[in-house]
Amino acid sequence: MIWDYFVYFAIVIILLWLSSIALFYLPNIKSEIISQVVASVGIVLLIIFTSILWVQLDRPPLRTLGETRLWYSLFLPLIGIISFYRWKYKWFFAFSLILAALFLFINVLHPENFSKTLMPALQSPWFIPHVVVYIFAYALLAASSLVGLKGLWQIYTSKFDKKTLLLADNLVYLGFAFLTAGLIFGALWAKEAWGHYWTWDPKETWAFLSWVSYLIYIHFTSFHKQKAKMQLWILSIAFVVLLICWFGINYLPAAQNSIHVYGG
Amino acid sequence: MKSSNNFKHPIAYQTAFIVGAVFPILGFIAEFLVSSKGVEMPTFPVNLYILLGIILVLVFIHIFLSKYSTYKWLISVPVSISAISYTSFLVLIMALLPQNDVATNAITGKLGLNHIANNWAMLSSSTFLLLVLGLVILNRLASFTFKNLVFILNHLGLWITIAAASLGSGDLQRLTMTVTENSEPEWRALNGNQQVELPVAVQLIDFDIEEFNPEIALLDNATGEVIIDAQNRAQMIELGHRYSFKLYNIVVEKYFESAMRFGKKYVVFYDKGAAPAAKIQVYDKNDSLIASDWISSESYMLSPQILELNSKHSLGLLKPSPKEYSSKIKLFAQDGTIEEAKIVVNKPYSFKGWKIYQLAYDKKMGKWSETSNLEFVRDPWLTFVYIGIFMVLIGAVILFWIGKKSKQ
Repeated sequence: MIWDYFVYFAIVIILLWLSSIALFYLPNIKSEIISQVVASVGIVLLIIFTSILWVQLDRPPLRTLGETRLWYSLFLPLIGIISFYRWKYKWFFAFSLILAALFLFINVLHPENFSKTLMPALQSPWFIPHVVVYIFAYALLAASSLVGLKGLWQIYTSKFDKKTLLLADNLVYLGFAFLTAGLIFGALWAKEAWGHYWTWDPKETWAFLSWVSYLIYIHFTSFHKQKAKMQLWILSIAFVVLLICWFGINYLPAAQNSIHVYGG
Repeated sequence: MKSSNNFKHPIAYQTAFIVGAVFPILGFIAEFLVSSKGVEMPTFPVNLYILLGIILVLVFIHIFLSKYSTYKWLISVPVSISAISYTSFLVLIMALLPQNDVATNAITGKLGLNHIANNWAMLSSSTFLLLVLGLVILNRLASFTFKNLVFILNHLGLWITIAAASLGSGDLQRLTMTVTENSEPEWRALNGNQQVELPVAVQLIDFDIEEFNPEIALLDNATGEVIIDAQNRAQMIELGHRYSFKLYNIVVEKYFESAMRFGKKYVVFYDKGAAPAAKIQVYDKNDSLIASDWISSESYMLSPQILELNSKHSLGLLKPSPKEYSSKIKLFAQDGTIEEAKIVVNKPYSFKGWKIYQLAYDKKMGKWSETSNLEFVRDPWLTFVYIGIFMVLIGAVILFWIGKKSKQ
């Protein structure tokens, strides 16, 4: 099993990404390009690892938290590189790589049971779109929160830059589109698998709350463009709700009967 | 957090949140007065009349009252945020308190906090949300331009979804039925604990489970638990495979997916009570044989066979998990229609306005279950919910495509 070699993959990829960050901050333009090539090599290695895992498991590796962490590590650097071309924020590129490396590191510390079994309810054409779209949404919204924290720090040190807020806004809009699609795909799947599109299952309840939190953020920012501080606070609170939905649900006593708690 | 430099019109938000609070408060008072029995949603045609009534009220306000400042306030963003926030606040209660209809203390019981989904507070708050959202949509529709399209798709889609899902919930029927192999057709189903007679009947021809191969796992003798770490992972068993746990190498000599114990041996056996069994050889790291014997999963007749390696470790086969389970059924309608169908998880079957789902089976009997639990669902408002959902989805796709327009 490829999973037995995960540690080696992870170490190489983490080293690649860390050296990419180091190169990135060297003061010449050439090293910036080399840095992105180095980061991309890491991404390609992770794509290879995940593809082999997928083939060997005989099912998409999207079931456990450990498996989904692989995908966050894959998407975050991609978002980092793409938004660097659009917004030219070095710190954001570096942050997305560190966060992605952290996810890989957590997987090294907590190897999970990569079982090949997949329960019948998860064997659905909706499985992949539902989870991939959600992972992409979470990665984008996590990225927007990083930008938001940077913005708050800028405000409290009186060095606020309006461009920070614009980047956060853009990431939220993209993330929210994915979040909406993920929620809807989930509802359509639930209708086929469990007989009803919405049953206030604990994960659904928290997914609804996360969706609404970002909805409030979008409404507030569209109409109060000058209130940067309040916008950033709403963004931070929305991310806390998202985090509960993302991780917290597995630990909430009220959620132990959730259809979304699958264990390791 | 809130200060005058954060809000240009602090009064707008304060008024919005004070007025918005009236709705959940009124709802909780109503809940208290009906001794927290919750809302019984009306069925067809009453729910349709209510829907038409709401639309009429919205159109009336839009046409005749739009010159008043209260109307302008109602369609302002602070009121929208207030309406969204109060509904979400109720959902937050739902997310934090167990929703099981068993009150844990006096307050949760009296205010119905353990059944928020059909609480009067939820009804009044979401009605307020529907009114505000409806007025905002009519206002935009009145000055429709192509630029408004995404707005209309998102907002009208959401309005249709909420309206159809909540008003339609009175007509939603979710019934369960238990059918047994070799029995007469069954037409009685359960709605909770209440028996309902269906206009269709079902006969179970065959219930079938396909299982994954069981996983071979290293067990801790002291606790009886499966040892799971980087070097010792439970792995699906396959004939001829070599498995390596940290201290042991294992070769699968024989594997029967369906077997029965006879004396000290297992033989292939395809009938009730059979379970997967394997003959394995266990070697230590120096490649010397330390044990060779049978292991098996459990079934309702067989106890699991474990191979003890030493005082610390044993090897065993876990219970196989189901890969697919399905019911072959014969369906009868009152008009004489007879159909045969196979119902699989994730693949419901439609018959005479009902959607029939494979729900469960007799877990104790496992693979040899002779009963199957089916669910019958009828949701006449589903089409409208889907229309709303797809409008929001298209809106989201366009939102993704154009992104956030730069503000400067």
